[in-house]
Amino acid sequence: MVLSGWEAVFFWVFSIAALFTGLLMIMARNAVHSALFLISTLVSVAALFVLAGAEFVAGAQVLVYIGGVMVLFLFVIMLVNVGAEERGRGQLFNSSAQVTATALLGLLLAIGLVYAINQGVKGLNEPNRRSDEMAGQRTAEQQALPVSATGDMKITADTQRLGSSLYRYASLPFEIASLLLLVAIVGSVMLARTLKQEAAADDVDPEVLKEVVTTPEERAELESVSR
Amino acid sequence: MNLSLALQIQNVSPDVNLLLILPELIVCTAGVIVMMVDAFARPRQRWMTGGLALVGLVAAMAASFWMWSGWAGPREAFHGMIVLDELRLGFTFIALLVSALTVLVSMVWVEGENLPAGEFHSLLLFATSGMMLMASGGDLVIIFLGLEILSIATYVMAGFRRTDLRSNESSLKYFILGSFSSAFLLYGIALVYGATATRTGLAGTTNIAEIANRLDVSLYPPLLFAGAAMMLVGFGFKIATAPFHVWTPDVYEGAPTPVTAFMAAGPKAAGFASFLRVFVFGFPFVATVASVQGQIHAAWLGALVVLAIITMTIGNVGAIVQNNVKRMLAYSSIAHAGYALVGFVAAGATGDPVFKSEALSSVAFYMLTYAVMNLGAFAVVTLIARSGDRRTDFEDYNGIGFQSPGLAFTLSLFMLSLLGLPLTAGFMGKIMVFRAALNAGYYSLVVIAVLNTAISAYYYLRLIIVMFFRERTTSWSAPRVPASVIVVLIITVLGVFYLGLFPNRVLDAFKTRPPAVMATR
Repeated sequence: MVLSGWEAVFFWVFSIAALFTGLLMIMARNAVHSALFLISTLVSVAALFVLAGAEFVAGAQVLVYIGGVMVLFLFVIMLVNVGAEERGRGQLFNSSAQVTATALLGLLLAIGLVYAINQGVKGLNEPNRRSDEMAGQRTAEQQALPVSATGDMKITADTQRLGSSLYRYASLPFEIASLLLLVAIVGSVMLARTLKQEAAADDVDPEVLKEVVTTPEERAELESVSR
Repeated sequence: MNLSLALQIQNVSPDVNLLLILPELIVCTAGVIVMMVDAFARPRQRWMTGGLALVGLVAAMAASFWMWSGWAGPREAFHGMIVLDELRLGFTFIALLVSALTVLVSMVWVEGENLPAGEFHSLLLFATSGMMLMASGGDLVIIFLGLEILSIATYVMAGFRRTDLRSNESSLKYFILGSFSSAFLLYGIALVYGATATRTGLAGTTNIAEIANRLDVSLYPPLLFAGAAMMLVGFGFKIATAPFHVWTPDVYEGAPTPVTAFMAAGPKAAGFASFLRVFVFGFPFVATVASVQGQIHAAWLGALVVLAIITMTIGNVGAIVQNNVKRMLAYSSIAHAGYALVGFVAAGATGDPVFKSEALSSVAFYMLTYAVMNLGAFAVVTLIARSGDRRTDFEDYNGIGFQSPGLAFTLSLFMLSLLGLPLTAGFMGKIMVFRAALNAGYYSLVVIAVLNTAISAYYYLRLIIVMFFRERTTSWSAPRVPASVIVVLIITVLGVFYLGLFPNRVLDAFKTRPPAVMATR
């Protein structure tokens, strides 16, 4: 595929945006900023998916990662205390061993990536019987699909198959997964909330909490509540 | 996947049958209701959540008894993802019983420790629904989801006493090792899914009955072996078999005692339910040894025999050197997983439906007896440990025999039952499991198991001796026994004698009845 025209412009804009926001994500000191940068990265990658003709993957990326996972991330970040990380300034990129190891691993990763892409291109260029057959099958499937009212939009067969198997064949596991998420949320709120939040909720008397508190930090925290 | 199958899937009906998951639905709904009530109740009304949880569990038990006695409808739904057979009903009963007894033990305890009662009971109910799904799932996906629901709820319950370092350690250890083992299980499921793609162009499957059909037409047999091995490791972790047992003593010791009681009885039984279903029905016995199916069957059976021997031995030897009662019971729970594996081996080794159903029911019966006596023992340990779980060493039990005779005698009864003394449930459970193994021809395995039982006499009797024949050096004030715990002790003591004296009714209920052709497939 050769990029041309506006496609090329958008490709370069979004890929550079993805790279830079990715970098900014790991360099940001504030965890909330990191999460926001990660969202920008994911949006850029979703745009790249659209350019590649994978509209469904792009949609799923926006809905699942940006809509669901990242919001949950932000919840967790705001729930747990991340002040300590913010205060520890100057801890990044200061140990030479760390930097060397990172550079080496990054190099290895890059070599592996180039090798994998080379192999993939080689495989693509060697047409074999099986892939031809599959291609024929796919066109047949595409033709069997319903065409929308305007006649110009077709959902891909894979999308339709995914939807069917998720909501028809696997409807029960789909529902059970929501129960799993509920348990996980209840559990994390239960474990992650601070003593302050616990005392603020009406169920616990700060005097009672004082008896179970052991460390001085927690005690100070509690006193700030009761005041 | 070829074109015709793709179109077929697109038009497939969801195959919904809500009656078939009625017990699970009741327990989940109860969990949500408990959460809502807790959110709107005044602090003084929090005790209601325990009562509500009990109501939900009893209702689910009634529903499962109804399914047990007169079920005329289809025996599977949701495309075989949920199945109904005696194996499922038996383990569902165990899960509900364990959960109900845990609620009774913890009702007063949770208030006394100033822990949030609503969260505790709703998590317990969700964990129970996870256990029930593990028993009823006929599909690896359902089993995995059930296992995760159960595990996540249990991780949180283990760390419930947040200000206690031991509880934190227990929760974190359980979480890290548990997710590690879940990953093993999931990887195994993925490999089996990939390996069950057939040469005729069908995509892979996660349905257990379908996996069994496809073993010999598998596209990639080596992947089947790798997948089965990884699932074996994953389940081995969950039911605490050696060499995957290392987390058990630390986690059981650190977790709050009622939670330990639940963890030792409930998740272990649920793990056995899925373990049995996946391996006995998914990779079943076949007469032709040379086929792929025959090789896989021989491989996992051989691995299980070794696992059973190591597990029994390590559990019993490890228990001897413990000085903490909770750690001792943790090692004893490892040993009991080993005894139950003996019955598992017998269930896997035969193709005869009658022998197989006998062996399966013996494992279910064993888990039931273990759950009853273990919960009883932990109920007493909870009482003696007092607030903060401070008194759990053997020394704390010195000479309490004649000062709190009621508690000491019940605890001794449970110890004797765990040891397997005649007339008690533990004896009958062991007899059933060993008989199944003898029928399948595993004589040496049974001999090793019996020798191990003899070793276990040392540490079970040691607790009794400590209670009755040691001098007490520190002062002792008898703990106040709440009414709900008295109920638990009565149920478990009666259960120990009932299962030990009249096991036949329960055993018959656990056996596959003739119309259930599905389970013997």
